[in-house]
Amino acid sequence: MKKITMIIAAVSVCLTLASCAEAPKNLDEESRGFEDIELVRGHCDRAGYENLSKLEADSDLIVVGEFVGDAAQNVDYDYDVNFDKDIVVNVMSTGTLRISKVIKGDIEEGADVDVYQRCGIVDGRLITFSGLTPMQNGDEWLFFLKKGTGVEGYWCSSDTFGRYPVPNTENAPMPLSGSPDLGVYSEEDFNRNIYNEIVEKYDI
Amino acid sequence: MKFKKRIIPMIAGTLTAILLTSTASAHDGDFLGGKYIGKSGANILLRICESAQTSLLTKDGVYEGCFDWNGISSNVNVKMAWAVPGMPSLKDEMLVMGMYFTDENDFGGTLFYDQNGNPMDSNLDSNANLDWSFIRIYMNTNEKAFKNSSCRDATEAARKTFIHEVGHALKLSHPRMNSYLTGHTYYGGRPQAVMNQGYPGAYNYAVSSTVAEHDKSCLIAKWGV
Repeated sequence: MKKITMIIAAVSVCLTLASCAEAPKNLDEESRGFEDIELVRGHCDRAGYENLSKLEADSDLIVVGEFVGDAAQNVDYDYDVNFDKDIVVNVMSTGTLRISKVIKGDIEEGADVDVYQRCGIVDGRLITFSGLTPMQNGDEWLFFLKKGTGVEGYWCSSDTFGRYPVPNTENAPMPLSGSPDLGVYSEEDFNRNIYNEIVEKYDI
Repeated sequence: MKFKKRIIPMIAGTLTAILLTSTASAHDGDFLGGKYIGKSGANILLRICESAQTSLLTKDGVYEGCFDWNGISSNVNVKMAWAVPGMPSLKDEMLVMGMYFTDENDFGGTLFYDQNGNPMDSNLDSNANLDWSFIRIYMNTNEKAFKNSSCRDATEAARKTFIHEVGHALKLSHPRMNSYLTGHTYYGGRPQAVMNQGYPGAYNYAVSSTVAEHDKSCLIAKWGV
């Protein structure tokens, strides 16, 4: 009886250990960085694109890529007499994009490029001038990128016009967004008409 | 006498109908809720910082475009002052800064602050209680933002951007894109408005270079006649 009990216990332990090893990654844990963060959105005026053709023409790179590593951020402050202190006036993040597919542009698959985004976390708050959700390690998107003036890196072409979901790809959860699969905070900022053209034209 | 008794209510009713009609193209989401803390209405003083006084941005009335918002609502009064070296700060001034952005598609923007100088979320709906203390407007001093092949005139584009950002300071939002909404007859269900994003004339002339009728109706809906 004792032997049977020990065998059952041993098998139970083994099964438990095996189930832990094979348990799917808890993506919720990975997004815990944004669970308790307040979203603070500024407003911007930007150019737009009426259709895919114009977006393609104005973009220097059209690629599929994955964010690798953590984004670095820079915060600008300025003294304001009304508050008698330095206040946040701008934030910018730089992420590394590893290219897996090139549709347009003089760049190789496997290359890394810097992608800029006007957002950053300050005092536990995500301050953003971008309609796109932040870059997260491991996220994969289709990008239309425009080179920044005088710098090596790129911007998503006119922000929300420059990043789209890759079909059948699941990215990390983004609790701050009502439409996380689209990569925007608000679905009305998603350029559905251009995305429909993309799906029809591109093999991704 | 009987005629007078009838005609006055008729005139009042007609004027009321006209007033209501003038705000008919303003929709939920076209403007933000809340007010400026400590102010009656939207009486704002914009100080154009030296950083924002580039050669492109100081010509042909770019910043004077903010006055296009005056004369529409009696509760809205936009004033402007040019900052010069040694000029002391003005009470309740809101700064317009120049910032160089390498993103050539970024024309300018606005950030909103509470009474403690902390940035506030500005993208909530008309019903949100969003009382601001101050705003800061920035203009991109990278001239390539306004000298693009899609842009028909650099000065016009810069002026439009400033008027647009002042519109945000007056708590107006980007118009909804919905062709079922009154007046949203332009490209993609837009109204013609300076509060649309983009270069003037874009989206088949939906982007207005200055304050358009839809903008006026939104301003009145927000701040009153």
